Amino acid sequence: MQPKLVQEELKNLAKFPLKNPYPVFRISSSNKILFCNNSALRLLKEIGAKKDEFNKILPANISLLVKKSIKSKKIVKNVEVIAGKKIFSCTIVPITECGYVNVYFTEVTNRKQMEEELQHQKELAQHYLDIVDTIIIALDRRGNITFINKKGCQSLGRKVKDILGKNWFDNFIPKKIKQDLKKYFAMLINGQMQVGEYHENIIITAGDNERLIAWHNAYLRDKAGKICGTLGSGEDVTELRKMQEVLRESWRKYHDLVENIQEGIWVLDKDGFTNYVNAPMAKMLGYSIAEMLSKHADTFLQDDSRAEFSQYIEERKKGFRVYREFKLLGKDKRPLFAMVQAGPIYDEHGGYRGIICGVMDVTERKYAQDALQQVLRQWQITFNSARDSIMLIDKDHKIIRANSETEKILNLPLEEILGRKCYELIHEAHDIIEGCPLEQAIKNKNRAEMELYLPKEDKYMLISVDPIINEDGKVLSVVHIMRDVTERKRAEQLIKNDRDRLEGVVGKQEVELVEKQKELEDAKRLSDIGALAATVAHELRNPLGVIKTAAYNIRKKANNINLDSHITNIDKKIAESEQIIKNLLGYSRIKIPAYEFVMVNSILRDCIEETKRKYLGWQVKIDFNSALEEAFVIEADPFQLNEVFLNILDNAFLSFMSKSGNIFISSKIDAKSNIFEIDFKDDGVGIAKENMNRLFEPFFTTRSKGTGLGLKVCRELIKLHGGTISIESRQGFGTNIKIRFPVKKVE
Amino acid sequence: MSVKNIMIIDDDEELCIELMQLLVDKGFKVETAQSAEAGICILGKKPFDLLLLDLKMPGISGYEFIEFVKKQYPQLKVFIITGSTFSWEFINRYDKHFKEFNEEESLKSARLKLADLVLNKPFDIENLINKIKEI
Repeated sequence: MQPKLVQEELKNLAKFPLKNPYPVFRISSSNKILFCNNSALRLLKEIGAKKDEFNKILPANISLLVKKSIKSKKIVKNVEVIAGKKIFSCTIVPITECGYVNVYFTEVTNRKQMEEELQHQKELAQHYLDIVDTIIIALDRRGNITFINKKGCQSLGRKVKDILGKNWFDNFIPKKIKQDLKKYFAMLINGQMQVGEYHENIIITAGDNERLIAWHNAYLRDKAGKICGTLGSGEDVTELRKMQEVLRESWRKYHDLVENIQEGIWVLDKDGFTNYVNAPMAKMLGYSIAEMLSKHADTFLQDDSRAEFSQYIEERKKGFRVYREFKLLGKDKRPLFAMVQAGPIYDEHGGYRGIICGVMDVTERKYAQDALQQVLRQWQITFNSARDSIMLIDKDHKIIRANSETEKILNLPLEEILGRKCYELIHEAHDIIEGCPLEQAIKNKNRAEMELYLPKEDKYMLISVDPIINEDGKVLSVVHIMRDVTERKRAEQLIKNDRDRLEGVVGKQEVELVEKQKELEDAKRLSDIGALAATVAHELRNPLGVIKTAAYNIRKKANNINLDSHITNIDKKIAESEQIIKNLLGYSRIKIPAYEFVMVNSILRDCIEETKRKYLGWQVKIDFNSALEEAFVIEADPFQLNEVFLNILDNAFLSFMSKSGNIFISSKIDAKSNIFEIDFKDDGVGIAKENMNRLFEPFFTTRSKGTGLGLKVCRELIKLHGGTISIESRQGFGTNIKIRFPVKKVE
Repeated sequence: MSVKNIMIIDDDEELCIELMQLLVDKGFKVETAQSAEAGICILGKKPFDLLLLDLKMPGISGYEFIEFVKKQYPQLKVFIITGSTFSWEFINRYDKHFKEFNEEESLKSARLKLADLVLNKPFDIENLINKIKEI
């Protein structure tokens, strides 16, 4: 016997005592049970076997194992035996010297069970790793792949053997991000960065397709706790991201839609609290969006609208589709009128989740409507208060509207007017009358009028019809106004009767008016001339004075008869110039008379004398005859009278072409009217008929010398005295001038 | 009877010359000035019997000058020789109306009344000589 075996045997024998808790057998090479301990007998008993039924607990092939062990002189280990519920592991130790073996049992029931469990767990884990929809991949410190699951292989599109051992970064990461990721991995491995962070990167699959993977990483540690690699679980999010992008886009569209529409959007949950509002809704009420959220709908409704609103929501749940107007309440407590249309929101199971409302601010519209109503009311009042009959008639002559005056004129209640044909009521005809203004108005698209006599009422009516034309130029209807013009008509008749008489009067007045106008123009002209005359006269007098003095000196100094006639001519011309200036100055003297008590006959006589002196050598006989005393006094401006008389006498003298003739002057007073009258008669050349009405025109003259102002000035001066001048003349027979003016000053 | 000293003030140089010639011929002693300002100096030199004065002159007008002269030399006779529309009778008659109408005209009128005679240009020479002789 080998010493080692013996020692082994001895060791086992030491355990051999009957106390050994597990069964021990000694079996001979001829497979005969030489010995068994009490534990073996207990086990037999436990499993219900008889004392000699050892085969029930020994391994089935024990004879073979014994032979093998004795022959090979080696211990056979780990032979499993199941006895009842217990599992044992048998060790067969050959004792070759003795020709038998010892079989030692060790109970392994628990261990076995645990092993089985472990195996099961392991299988399960592998199963899980394979069936999970997640890529599981383990990398060592160098980044080489040490494990990959089924999903990982699928994702990479390769077999396990083509993946394991390969460097992850060199083979499965796009070049553009490879370096970054390697750096990141190095930091991770060196503990410079915490794992567990989530990150996404692109990987390359078999067909060079790129997939986006989202990773969660964890450290792999060895027994010493040192980091030996990483375990990453990745999820292919390529589709997810695409979906998310689509979703985001869709959300953006929805968001844009909801936020950009002008209508307010208001979402309430099933209890009536605000879930969502868009900006226009918040703005409408004057809140911020945040302020509105989670507040109950009642917060935004006026007291009297609350009950109605909740009733409306209930109705909407049942599916009535209606707009309804509510009175909302702004943040500043101002009332708002809003048009609301609500639609219920259901979850996927059909449960009621809340309601979405489209809200339109109609406050302005409401106010406009109110204003319109007001205007319409006012219009109706106006319409009815008009003193004329006003009707709205359609193109078929049917009366659409009529005011109350129409009722009075037609003597019919409104119900019997509306809908009737206008010609039936107004003209009592059965068809459109001839010359119907309504037809004309429609045809010409312009106002048409007609006058109508209503014999029943003995009234005259003026009918005017105005078409109502739409934007396309089509006549829609007409406004028919009927005015009682009876009074006017009668007045017109009266006026017509008086017209002829009036025309005569008016015509005369018109002539007078024209004359007056002409006089006014003349007066203006005279005043201008007067100013000019005064200036010119003054300026001329100075040089004339020098000429006159110089001529005088020449005459004295020269003392020469040959020069005398020339100097006399100069003196004559100076005198003529002086006369012109005087005439001109006469103009400037046309101003308000300075009244004095003057002896008119005396002035007249002085003038006669002066004129006679002027026309020295003329054969003119002047006969002055007065019915008045020499001392008879009138109120007048002596200078102006002087001017007048001199002028008239001058004219008379100048009418004598042969420097000879007769002048008859007479003066008298009309006691009744207290008017003084002077008559000048001459038998000179007279005045041509065609010149008679130009006598008082300024600057009109038939003489080669003369300003043509004399008579004009006379008339103006006489007028200023409230008097008149009249001229009668026959060419070739002479002229008769009559002056009349009041004895007393005219105020 | 001593020789009368006459002073002529008129801005019309030719009138001054002609009038002086005329009066010198008649035996008067005559001095002339073409403005009131120049006349004042001459008036101060020796006593004059008569001043022939124009109204419308540049600088001091005849209206103003007559007031001054009559105050300074009360004995001096003043004849106005003027081209304007005023006449002696006119002034006297229309005086009251001027007061009503126009303050300026009224003042002018009052000053003119200081004159001993007003003659309108062109004046009657013989008449003038007679009036001078009457002084």
